[in-house]
Parts: sequence; C-alpha cells; structure tokens
Amino acid sequence: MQEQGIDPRKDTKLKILAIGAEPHSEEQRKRIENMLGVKAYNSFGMSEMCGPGVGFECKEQNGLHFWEDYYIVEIVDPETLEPVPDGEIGELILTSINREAMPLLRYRTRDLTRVLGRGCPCGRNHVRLDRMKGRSDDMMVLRGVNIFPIQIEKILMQFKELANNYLITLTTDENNDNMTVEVELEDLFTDDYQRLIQLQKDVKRALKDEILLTPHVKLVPKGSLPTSEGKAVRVIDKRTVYN
Amino acid sequence: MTKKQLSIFIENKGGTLIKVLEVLSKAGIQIIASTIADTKDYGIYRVICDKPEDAYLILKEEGVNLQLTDVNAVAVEDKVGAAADVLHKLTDDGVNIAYMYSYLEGGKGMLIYKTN
Repeated sequence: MQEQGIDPRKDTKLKILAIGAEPHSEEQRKRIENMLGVKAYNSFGMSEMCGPGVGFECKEQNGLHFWEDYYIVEIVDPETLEPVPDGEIGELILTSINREAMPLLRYRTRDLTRVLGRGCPCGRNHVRLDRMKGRSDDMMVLRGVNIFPIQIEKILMQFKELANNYLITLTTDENNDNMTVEVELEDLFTDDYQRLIQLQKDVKRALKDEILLTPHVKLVPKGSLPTSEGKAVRVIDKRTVYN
Repeated sequence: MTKKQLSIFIENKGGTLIKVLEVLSKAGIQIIASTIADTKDYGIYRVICDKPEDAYLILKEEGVNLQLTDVNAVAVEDKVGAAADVLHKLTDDGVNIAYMYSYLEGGKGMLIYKTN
C-alpha cells in the first residue's frame, strides 16, 4: 500500500483486525494498529481444536479469553506435568469437551503461557491467558509456517559434501522473518567457485521444498561453528516475538 | 608442466587468512605465489609453495578445509608480450581458462592457470 501511495489510515475503511497464528509482541501489535489505523485483537487457535478462535482478546486487549465451555484449560510444568499456580508460566494443556469423532484429552500444545486472571471488565469470566511466551519443544514458527530443526537436518544430511554441524539463526528485518542456515563443509571437494555456488543453490532448493520457505544458506569451514558439551544448540532466535 | 596448488577454503572473517599463514610459517613452508578473490561469505585461497604435499598434511591436521589441486604452469620470457603469446596459443588450441595468476622465478615468468 505504501508503494502505491495509499495511506490505509485515510484511504481505507478498515476498523478491526483479528490476528493470530504466529507469536508476536505487544510492540508489533501496536505497530500494526498504528500503521493501519485499526484495533488489532489477538487470537489463539490450533487445527487440533477448532482452528482459530480457541481463545480471543476482548476490547480490553489484556489477555486471551479461552472458551472454557468448549475447552478445559490447564497450565502445567513441562517437565513434571504438574499444575502451576495462576500467574506462573507453564505449558498449555487443552481438553476438548464438545468435539465429536476426534476429541483430544489433555493434549500437550507445547505452547508456554500463564493465567493473567479469571475476571474482566468486559464481563466475561472465561479465563484470561497471556500471549504465548515460547515453546517447550524446538519448533519454530516463521512466516506462518511450523518448522522443526530436524527437518533441516534431514535435508542437510542428504548432501555428502556437507558435514554434520549446522546452525539456524532466525532474524527479523523490517516486517519479514528470515532464516539463515550455516552448514560446515566436509572436505573441500572442489577448487571451483561455481561448484560451491551450485552446492549452495542445491541445498537452498532442497530446504525450500521441505520447509516451504527459502532460507539463506552459508557454507562455512569445518569446525568453525560452536560446539556444545551437552545437546547441540541448533537454533538461535534473534527475533523479538515473545515479548 | 603441472604443479600442485593448495586450494584453501577461507571464511570471510577476521583472522582466518592469518591463521593459515601462521601455520605455514611455523612449519617452515615458503609461499611462492598466492591469490584470493573478493567474494562475499568465503573465498578460496590459492597457494603455490615449496613443499605442497607437506603443507597439505599440516593444514589438514589443523582442521582446515583444503584441496591439493593440479594446475598448469608455463614458463615465459620475462618481457612485454610474453603472456599474450602464451594465451594466443592456448586459445587457438581451444583451451578455456578458469583462473590465472603469475610470479617471477629465476628470471622467467611463471604463468599458473587452471582450465575448465
């Protein structure tokens, strides 16, 4: 719209936006509201329940009301699975009570959040949960797509020119999320720049076919990526989505 | 004739080139000619040295990504036009040059090149 010289605040009649599917910060929400001249209400959902709308913000914009007449909401410690007190961050567990054919009992969403309160000036008493704070597994969400590091690992392992060590870095520039995959070269298999560039392109295309978005791919020398003693750190998320 | 050239994968980051030079220096290897291009994330540092097989093993032990590459070497008179004459002959023979660099040795010019 900017490129076409349209000012959404003046030139459109947009009033309300319902947003969701990806974690975002309070700053990002306010930016969207300012840019478009609308009110943007956060939502939460998942295909395992009903799709979007398992939880929704009211006009207070202070937490997501979860529809407790349809879903039993529990917040538990992701290690012990014991309930945590209101206000403490834990993993969201959902049980669908009106679903037929495929009800889910105590389904681990792997989303981390906390109870903000159980009353609201809007008059609804459905529990209010905070915006999602993170995941208790290693799944990433980028441009609306769910991605597990193991998917990237599977593709990289198909290339014999690549060694085992890789690092995924997530960043945001302007409004887009970006993924950079640095991967170590096994032995230097060629002296020819063109073949190295071709390898980079092939890896990029194979990754895109698997994860549906195109990452930047960087070939790095063997041994140049950090190693760790325990579980390898595969993802560095420099975005500010969970604030 | 052919010569053995070290082709060394260098990340475009401070200290990577120096590390290679220090390893070679400590091992008593003498660099005769070398070249690296201004590429973005990484470069291939090409080196002609006095003991290429030794240098290869020493650098490999240091964990460096490298290859021992066979390249062509031709000695020319150290005078104006000598390189052009050589290239004429190569082009007439249908040879395609991928990269090339040169140095002076014993009063002659050495042209190092790799063909496609």
